[in-house]
Amino acid sequence: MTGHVLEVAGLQKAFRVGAGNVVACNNVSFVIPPGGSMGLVGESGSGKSTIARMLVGLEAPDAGSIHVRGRQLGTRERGRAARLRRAKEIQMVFQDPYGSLDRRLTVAQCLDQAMKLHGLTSGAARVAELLDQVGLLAKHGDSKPHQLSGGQRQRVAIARCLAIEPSVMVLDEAVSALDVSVQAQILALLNEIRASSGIALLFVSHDLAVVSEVTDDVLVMYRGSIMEQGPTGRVLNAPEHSYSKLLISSMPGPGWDPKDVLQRRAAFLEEVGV
Amino acid sequence: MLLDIENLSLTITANGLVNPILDDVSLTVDAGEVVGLVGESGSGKSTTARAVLRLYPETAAVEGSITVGETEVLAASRADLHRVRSSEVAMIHQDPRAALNPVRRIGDSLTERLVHVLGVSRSEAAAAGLELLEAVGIRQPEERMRQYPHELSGGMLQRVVIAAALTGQPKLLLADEATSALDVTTQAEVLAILRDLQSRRGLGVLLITHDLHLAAAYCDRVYVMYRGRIVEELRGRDLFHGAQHEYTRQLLAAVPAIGHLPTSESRAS
Repeated sequence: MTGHVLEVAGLQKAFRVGAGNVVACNNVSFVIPPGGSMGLVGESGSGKSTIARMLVGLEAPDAGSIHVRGRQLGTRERGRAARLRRAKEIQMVFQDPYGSLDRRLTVAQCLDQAMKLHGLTSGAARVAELLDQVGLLAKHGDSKPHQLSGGQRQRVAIARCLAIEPSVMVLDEAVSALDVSVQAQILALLNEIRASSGIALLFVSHDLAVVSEVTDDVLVMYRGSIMEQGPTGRVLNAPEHSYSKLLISSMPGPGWDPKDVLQRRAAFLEEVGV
Repeated sequence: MLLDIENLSLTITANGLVNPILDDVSLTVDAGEVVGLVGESGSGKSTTARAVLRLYPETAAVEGSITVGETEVLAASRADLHRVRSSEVAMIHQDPRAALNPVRRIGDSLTERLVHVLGVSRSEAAAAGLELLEAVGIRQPEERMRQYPHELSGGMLQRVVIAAALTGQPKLLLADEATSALDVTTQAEVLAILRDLQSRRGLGVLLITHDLHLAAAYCDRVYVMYRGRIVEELRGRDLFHGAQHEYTRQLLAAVPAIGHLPTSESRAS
């Protein structure tokens, strides 16, 4: 159909909370080209993670469609084969590098299992290649997660994604728990991966500075709806929507006064009638 | 000087291995001052703050001195230490949900220190609690006092935790990544409240953070820690341009930044 790796159209999701509904995702549409990278920013409760979870199939959308390389994904996979097919297309890296790996498996076993699960040819050579690709040494293959640092674990989680050769990688706050120096290395790694493999990235984060380092385009969300959408540099440097302006002025920097942010927030809430 | 840490060294020996955790750390916080402590995980920031309350493993070997007001904490008697912990110094951590008992009402957590430690009557404690909730910008405080932690958002809970920390009228606040888990807009709100309380009460604040932009924008002075040592002390506003130490420069270079953000229209007003 088109050359896009990921195409999301009219995505809709509401959760029942008490007697009412909370709209977590309201008519969200976007596309990511091969090797492209889309940032998803907004405060807690803006619906960022709900979109990520719908993409990997952890939530079923109420309406809308998700296409990967022109093929539509089901809304609710039934059976192991269907779930594996979806996982083959879209892989996810989670925030907590301490919780997302099986503590009983060595790194090599972890990568090996992921490949076998998807019927891919594994073996020591492929494992070594993957470790090298994410900047780990061959000896790390024999390590268990508790022997690795947070940054190394996140590299393993990325290697596990790459092992399956997916079309799309979804990163949900994947560098938020890391120190800045380690964070910088992982961001550089992600840029390398998308340049060399053509994998499309969806990068979910509340940290605008991090988003500006690894994305081409950005979606600014608030309460389930897109407030602003465009090239990352333009949106972050010259935001048009008042919510984007609020979000950007909230970030500490030279001359920053938290009181100004409060005034902006009050003005924005009045504008949207909350 | 409100807090004066001099040549603090802390060593833990485990399985015959000697691990120096803090090495010759000296820092001060004056009344009404916000002092930042930055560095990577494992650099000793939290250990330094916890040592102020004499909270460290029994196996730790500690040298140097920590003075809070008139009290030398490391050599304090039980009674003096109790006074320091209950009414002179308060500490706030990153996760407010871990700081509050999930099966107790907000009001109970808030007035606990007043009633059980400082011996204030329940009705007086409740009145003080309401006043503090208002001071940290919580609307409908009477209703909040009756609610449970799961009914409040993270930002709201962190404000409750700040209010609870202030019940003993402390002189020094140790904030260990206290706003790191909050949204940027909520973080700004909590920090604005903290600055307001801090200037009105002459509170000294030691702000531990990994966010260097925040340290530069919010702190009067900043100490940079690396592997248990303080490698540099700077004025907050000089952090990004005045750093001399190689480690500080590397740390700053790793911080992601948005283009020419500070000069953008959104920052101008």
